[in-house]
Amino acid sequence: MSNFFKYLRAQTKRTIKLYPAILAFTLVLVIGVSIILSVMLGSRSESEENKRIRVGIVGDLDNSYLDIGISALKSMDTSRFYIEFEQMSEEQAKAELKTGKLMGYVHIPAGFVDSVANGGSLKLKYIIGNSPAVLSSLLMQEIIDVIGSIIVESQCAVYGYIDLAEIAELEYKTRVELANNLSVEYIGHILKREQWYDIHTLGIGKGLTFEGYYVCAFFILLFLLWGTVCVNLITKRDLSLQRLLFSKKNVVFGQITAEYAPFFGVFIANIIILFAAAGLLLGGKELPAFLPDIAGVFGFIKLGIMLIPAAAVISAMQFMLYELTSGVVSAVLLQILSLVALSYASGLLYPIYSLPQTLQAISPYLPTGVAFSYASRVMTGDMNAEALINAAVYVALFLSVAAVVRSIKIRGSRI
Amino acid sequence: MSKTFKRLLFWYYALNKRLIKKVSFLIILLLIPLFTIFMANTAKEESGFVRIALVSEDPADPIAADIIAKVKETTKITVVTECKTEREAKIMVERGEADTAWVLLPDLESRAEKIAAGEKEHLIRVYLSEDNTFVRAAREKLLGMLFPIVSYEIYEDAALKLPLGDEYKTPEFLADAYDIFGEDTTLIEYGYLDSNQEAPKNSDFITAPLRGLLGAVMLLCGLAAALYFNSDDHEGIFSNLTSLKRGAIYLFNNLAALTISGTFVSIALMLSGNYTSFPRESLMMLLYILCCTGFCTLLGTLLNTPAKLSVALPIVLILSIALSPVFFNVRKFHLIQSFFPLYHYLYGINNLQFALSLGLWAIGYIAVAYMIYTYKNRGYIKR
Repeated sequence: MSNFFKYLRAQTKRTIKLYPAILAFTLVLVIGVSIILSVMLGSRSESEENKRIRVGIVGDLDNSYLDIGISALKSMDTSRFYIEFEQMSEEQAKAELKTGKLMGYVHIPAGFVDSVANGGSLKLKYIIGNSPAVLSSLLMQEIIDVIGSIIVESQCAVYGYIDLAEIAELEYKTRVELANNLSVEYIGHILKREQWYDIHTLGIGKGLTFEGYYVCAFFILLFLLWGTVCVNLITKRDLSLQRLLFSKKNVVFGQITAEYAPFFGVFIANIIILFAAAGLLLGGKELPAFLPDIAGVFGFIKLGIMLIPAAAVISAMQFMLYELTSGVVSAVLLQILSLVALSYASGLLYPIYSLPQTLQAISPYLPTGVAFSYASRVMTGDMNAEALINAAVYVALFLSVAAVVRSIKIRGSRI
Repeated sequence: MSKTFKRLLFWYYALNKRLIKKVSFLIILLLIPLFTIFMANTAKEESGFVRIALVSEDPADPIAADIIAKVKETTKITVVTECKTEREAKIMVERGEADTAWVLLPDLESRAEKIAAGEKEHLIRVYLSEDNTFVRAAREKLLGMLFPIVSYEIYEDAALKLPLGDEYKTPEFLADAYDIFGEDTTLIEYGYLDSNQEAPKNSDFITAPLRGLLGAVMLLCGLAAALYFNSDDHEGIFSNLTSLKRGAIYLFNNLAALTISGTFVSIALMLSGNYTSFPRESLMMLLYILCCTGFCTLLGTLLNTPAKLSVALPIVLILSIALSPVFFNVRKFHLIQSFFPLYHYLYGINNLQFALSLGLWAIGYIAVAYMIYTYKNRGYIKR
């Protein structure tokens, strides 16, 4: 037993020596990921101007009922919150598209109006920006499809009406006036389209908001990253010391525990420091609704402490992965690959409910899925014993596997 | 063949052989096609950002049935569950099993007539937990399906007020006058800037990040190769070479890893359907390989111990994924983004101007990496 405590003390001292460097890299990671998360979700203090997706309109809109339709879309109450259409020259549209200021632009070809009036085949072209098919551009394509439908139907109505007015032998001026009135009526209906819906907001209840979901995902992602930074702490050149300890009756599980405890201690220290810093920065301010009801520095630290079981699951998994490899390079590669794969499969990057059924079925059993489930219960205040037991079972499982692997390595090696 | 060229080929072959013997490197290479096949297969399953519980109060209404059929067609962002009753749909939202519930109210046609006449009327009852961007976007999609009904009623209402003869006011004649586009009602087609290529309309958000993730795996291979070289360099394996030659070997070492992984990635992209055209893909892949070679060599030179590089590796990879348009298009930090080869590669697939910037960064990185490496190691034994 005394050998165990001696080994534990030695490992703890080693960890404390390496901790400043680990903490420095951890802070770099936290700052980097926090900045990116805040940009993705959109800062609460960001102006409405910056929250809009801008789409350019290029082309000749004179003598076109299209102009009126697009003006209507520009002033849509709901769309105004996230899509803004702006008329501009093609040169300006291309330049802004290249710099990412525009999501895309709609090009109206010359002669489009005549083509529409005569049932021709000229089409509008939606030019997509340089960016690949990320989520926002896929979303825009959906919206553009809807706008296309609105424009088609309104043009059908207006030009069909003009044809009927001609059959009714109305004067040209009267036909134009009536068509304009019809267009204005369409604009009015488009502006009031939310009245077609009888909307009832039920609230989140015990669930997470969209932002709350990604804050939870952020915590789990941080735990995964912290483990990768500890590569120099955990990886071993060889197992000669461990073999010696084994020969002195220091059992394998004791070795594993003595090595894991300081490694887990790194996570606890990081959590306390991170949440204390968050408490100092945000403690006196009004907190977003997706955070639990916490106040002051100690409130934040308490939240952090409640997340420790989730960190335990992740740290135990990473400890096991380190044990499976030998050497720094393979250890780092395995950690990175598992980080990317598990983040994706557990819904840390896209919400889990948006992923295919196969992944939704697997995710609750993945270690990151278990950790995320625990963290989300902490955030919603819906903690139960089952989540804690699940976490404990996974920790025990991973440490047991690590012990078995260590045992095989020690017994299997030649002296 | 000149002696120098033969030696270069020999080194390239020897370095490739050395890398392929590393089990961890082989595992990464094998994961590339496996990961691609997995993603491509799972993308075929139903998936979406907005979960909709859908129900009609009057299942016999043909307009409601038509809307339900259109909503249930696979879209890029929604997953639809058809419910039997309004209560069932509402409970799904309350339990968090759906983001929103749409209840199609009865007799949609007469409701649309009332709207056309200027009266206030509802077509859909909506229940939602929170009104975020995706839920609103889904509702706009619903608008696209409801609008034709309302639009025709508005038109018919106005047309019937015209001084037309009875033969012109028949439903058939009015419908015929309305139908100016005939069969082809698509008014919008898609295109890319600086490309004659048609933009693929069938991209989905599951496979959309595939190219970016595979690019990140390639970067990982390059950094892994740099790690291996750093380890061997520290053990003195290359100490019989001058610093000039060692610098070249370092570049070749990373080039070997990236060439192998680049080949696997190109094949994976072809199999996944995310491949554009051979000349464009080959050009961008070649430039990306060269740029990553320089980038990984420079990083390995600056962080010249395996310990430092192994700690920096996850940071570099995460930043590369986060700042490049893999999952999201972050429109800030342009200056920092431009340091990452992945950023230029992903944009360059659709805009060849980024191919130029990628090429320039490749030259820059290779030159700077080589100069710094040879300068830092200039004290070694010379032949």
